[in-house]
Amino acid sequence: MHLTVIRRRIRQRFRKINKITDKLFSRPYFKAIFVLNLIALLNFYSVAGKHAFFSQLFVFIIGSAVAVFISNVDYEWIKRFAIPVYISICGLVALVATIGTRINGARRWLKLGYFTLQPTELLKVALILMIGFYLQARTKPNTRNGRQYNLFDLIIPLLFTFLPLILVLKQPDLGTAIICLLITGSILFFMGIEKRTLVLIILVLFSGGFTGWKHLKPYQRDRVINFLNPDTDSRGKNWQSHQSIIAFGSGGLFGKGTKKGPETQLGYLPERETDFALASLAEEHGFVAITVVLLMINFVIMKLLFIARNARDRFSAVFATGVAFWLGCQAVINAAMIMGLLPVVGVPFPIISYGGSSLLTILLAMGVVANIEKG
Amino acid sequence: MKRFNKRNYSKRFNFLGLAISLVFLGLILYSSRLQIVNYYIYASEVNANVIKQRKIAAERGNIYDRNGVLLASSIFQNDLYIIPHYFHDDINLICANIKVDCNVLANKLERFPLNRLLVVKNIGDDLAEVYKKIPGLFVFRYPIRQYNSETATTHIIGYNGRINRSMLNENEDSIYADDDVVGQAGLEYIYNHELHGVNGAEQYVLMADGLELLSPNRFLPKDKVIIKPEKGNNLILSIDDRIQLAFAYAMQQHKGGAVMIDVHTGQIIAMYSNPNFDPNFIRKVFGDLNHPLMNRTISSYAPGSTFKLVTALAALELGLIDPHKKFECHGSYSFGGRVWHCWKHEGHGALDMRDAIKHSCDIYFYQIAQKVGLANIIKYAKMLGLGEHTGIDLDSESTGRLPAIKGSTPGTLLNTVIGQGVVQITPLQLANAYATIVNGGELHVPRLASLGDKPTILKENHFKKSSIDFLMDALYAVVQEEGGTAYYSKSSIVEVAGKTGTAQVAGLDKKKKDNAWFVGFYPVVEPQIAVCVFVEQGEHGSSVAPIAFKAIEEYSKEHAPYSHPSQN
Repeated sequence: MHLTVIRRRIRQRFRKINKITDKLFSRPYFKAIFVLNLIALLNFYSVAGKHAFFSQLFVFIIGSAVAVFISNVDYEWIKRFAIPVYISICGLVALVATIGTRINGARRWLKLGYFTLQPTELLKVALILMIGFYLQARTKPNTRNGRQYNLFDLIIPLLFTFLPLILVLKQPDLGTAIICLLITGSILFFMGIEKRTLVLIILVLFSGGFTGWKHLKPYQRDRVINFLNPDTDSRGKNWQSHQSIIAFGSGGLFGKGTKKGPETQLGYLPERETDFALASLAEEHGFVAITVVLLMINFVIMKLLFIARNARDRFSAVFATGVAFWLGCQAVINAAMIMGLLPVVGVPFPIISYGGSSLLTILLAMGVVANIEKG
Repeated sequence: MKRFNKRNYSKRFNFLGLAISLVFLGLILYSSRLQIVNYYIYASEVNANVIKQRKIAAERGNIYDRNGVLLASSIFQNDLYIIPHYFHDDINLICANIKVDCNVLANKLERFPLNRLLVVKNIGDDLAEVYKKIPGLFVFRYPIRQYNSETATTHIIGYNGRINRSMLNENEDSIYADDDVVGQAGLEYIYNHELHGVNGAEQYVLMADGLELLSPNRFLPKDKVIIKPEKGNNLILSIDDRIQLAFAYAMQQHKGGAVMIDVHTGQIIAMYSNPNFDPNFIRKVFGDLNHPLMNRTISSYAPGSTFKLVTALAALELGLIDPHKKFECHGSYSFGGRVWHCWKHEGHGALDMRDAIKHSCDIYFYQIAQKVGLANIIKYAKMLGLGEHTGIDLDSESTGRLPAIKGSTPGTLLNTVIGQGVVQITPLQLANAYATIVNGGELHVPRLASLGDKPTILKENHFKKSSIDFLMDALYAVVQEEGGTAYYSKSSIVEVAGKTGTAQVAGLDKKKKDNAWFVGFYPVVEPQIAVCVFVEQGEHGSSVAPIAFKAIEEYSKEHAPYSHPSQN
């Protein structure tokens, strides 16, 4: 083959790649996600070791490619996939509850050869898809668009939520359960609920909270108690929260630098690359990095809300809102937990906390959002 | 496709977007409160968590004798520790070089993987250098006391030990740390403050699992050592180690003490107590029935005939007795309803004071004692520093004992005059007393560690030159003239004057021999030194006098002797 031909073909290839990346980065929230990933990778390089760094990078590349693919498929396809995706992921959650890998007393992971999968992360996006699909289906062409939902309209989406949550709580994974409830609740609330129904739900939640407290595991209860009474011995059960706060605060304006945060590097900060990744980022890169991360997430959420506002149908609106709530809840709960404003709950910060399943899920959701936006 | 219900929802979306933005703004503000406003609080809390301090022990000052011979020095000891968690080499390679049972060690490593375990104490410097570089092995290097085992200054120097609570709490701004090694006895104890030095401090980084971080440079500012340790001051003694050794050699077979003192300054040239011990291995001598830890030169004993000179001095000074007047000795003397014997049972015949001292006649002194009286004897004994603390820079000095005038009987007087009964004095006091006599009456505070300083005068007595000369001549006769009690053991090399003493051991154990004394001075004209030798159960003064002569011979090698005027 002639050399010029090869050159031309390479150039064509590159053009194709350029097209894809152009598509990816033409959307500002993708840019924000990209920046967040860079910050996360910088943090993993410092605190999590080579393996975590490269596996996260790998997931990021694969996930981005899949996201680009999803953003280009037919919109109707995504709707059609909602039910099978939801059912299969619920199946995976059930599978985890039976044959999952146990780490630190919790059975949350599914071993798939070289990788481990955390199906509860995927469950979040499946749940949003399912609720969106259901609400879309319930929106009859002749009904008034502003109609508010009554109790009967809510039963089925709540069932969608509660059925897998029983399995989730069995793992146990209180963090994910809370996030899922918040997602469903806020979507439904946001889409409009009758006042009577709202009062009823609040009553149910209170009594549910009371009985739920009785069923909390002792360590979960301790966390809540410690949170409400933070002056207990810092070497005791409040240790994690205390270490998190001082690691966060000692970062200062610009942080101590990569691999130079003693709390992070010397094992004082627990779960330094997962649940408390934001604290290690704060210690090593300071207020500047935290501000950038929070602003980026805030930007992504705002963008999602705008997309929801301009959505073509109820499914799109529900999906974008759901993803916005999902990311927002996780970010706010995690950040508040790290700053000592909330008790320690296993809620990771989107993207910043290490976790392939979590990152993959977010990227997939972003692909769907991009698809929605297009239309 | 028609956009869905845009009109109704857009308000809600705007409101929601604003609310979420406010939440994030709140989080950013709160994090600025943590990271900027309260930065120092949290940073110092992290430092308190992570950066710890430990002391670097200061080296103790060295101790030298007057010629610069090193008596005690500070050397470094290396102890080898292991943290199994960090250690990934073959343990057998380490056992091969040190005397440790490999199985025991391996078992220990398995049981305590996260502990810092002592492998072996005191490994060589070259081995320490090698092991230091192996991950998981740690060499703890700290100064310890090394005593020169070729010297014989054990009792003077004393020994060290772990600080006790009372010493630690003594002063508020203490220079001592709670695991310091400090002087427990002897000069180490008395001059501890000077010898101790100032401890340093270094920082290290502690990890959450309780282990020390191996390469802490990332987390520590510049220098790990924040306070450099300062070595303690050196101490130079007035002791001459050669004379000390001469005493040690001569006293090998005896239990007792020997002192050599400079008559003009009170400096102690030698001070030896036997049995001796090796202060490097002090634990071995605890519980030894010979009491090697006891310094016999500052313990008190009955002085025997050496005490007669006090009575003679008092008699001459007060003019109560004509020294040339002769008294009769028939071997026994009746007094107070009791018969008192002279040590020579057949009697000495008629003798004056010079002969009485020369032959150490008891009867002569019994008779003059009646005229001098107990009060004057005690007065002059005190003028010579007997029965009182000399003030030497050593701990646990015995005071000695003189009889009380109140409640004394005539028997007390007679016993006292020959240095028996209640009277007890230390060899150091006796040497100092004779030094006071021969220097004309200046009682010095004996010093071990103030070479070059002006002598401290404890009591200034002005004895008549005639009585001093008379006594010195009499003491010359004791050693140098035929018939003197120490004549048969006199040295052919040095001319020494002195007095023997033989004291009965308290109690009626007939098997026990008498305690023996010799106290003298050298040279016989213009004396420079006074020597006192005491031997427990040494039988007779003349049999221990050679010990003093040997030391004086050693001394005379450096100092030219003078001859007695009677020979010129």
